[in-house]
Amino acid sequence: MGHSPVALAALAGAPESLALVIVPGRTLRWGLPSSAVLGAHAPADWAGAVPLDWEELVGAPAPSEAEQVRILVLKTELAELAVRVRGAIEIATVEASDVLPLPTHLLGDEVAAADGICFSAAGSPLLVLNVNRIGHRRC
Amino acid sequence: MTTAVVALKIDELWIGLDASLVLEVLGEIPWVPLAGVAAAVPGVLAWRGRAIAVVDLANAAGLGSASSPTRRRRALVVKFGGDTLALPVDDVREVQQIDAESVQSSHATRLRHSSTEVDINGLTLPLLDSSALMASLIRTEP
Repeated sequence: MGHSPVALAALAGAPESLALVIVPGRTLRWGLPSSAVLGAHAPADWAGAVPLDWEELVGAPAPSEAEQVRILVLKTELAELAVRVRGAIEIATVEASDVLPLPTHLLGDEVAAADGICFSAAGSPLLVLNVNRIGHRRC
Repeated sequence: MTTAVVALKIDELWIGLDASLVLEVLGEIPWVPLAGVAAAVPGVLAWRGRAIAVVDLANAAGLGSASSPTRRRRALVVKFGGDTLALPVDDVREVQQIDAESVQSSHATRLRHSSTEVDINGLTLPLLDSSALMASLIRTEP
């Protein structure tokens, strides 16, 4: 029995891909692993807990002309978090090897929730977040 | 015995730096400002497949500059201890070989993270102490 193309690629050491849900920002974007995003809801359809504010959560200004609002439900190790985000949500795939570690010992705790930064994604740079670290900070 | 010094300019101030610490001199290069970080380390820059910290020397050295580091025309990539950093600067001069004996304790200059100075082309420059600067920048254990 032969291997599927995907399995062959894995055997050949093909780069690991990372599927991300992209939240826009004013100067850079944030990427959340798609496996940690349980859903995206229009505010009018949301009947759960009062959502956290994304800008407050990551300490950054929202896109200046963002009108679209969505409630993202994130799955962390500790809990499910509802977060209100502004701007157009996108989906992207990057190579895991393109996510570069940040010098967090110089940048401090505020970026400790980030696994790294990706400069090679189309558009502005992408800060890849670890939702469990966000969860630990909020739960 | 000589030592190599590169002169860099922040606003109107020239500062000397041990040239052996300089890995590359870049032109004006965009870097990524990050939210919620210290003003002395305001963002990161992509360099040779790595994300390196950008250090605002004007802030770190207490110059009280009103200029944003995003507006500086050049950037030095330096290796301070185990860290590779980008220092946006306004200008850089060629490396000068000076007598090691001409490095003196600071008298005419005053700069945070500097305790010595040198004369280069008739100008007295404070010499940046990279170890003292790094000690002030580290926020958590690497």
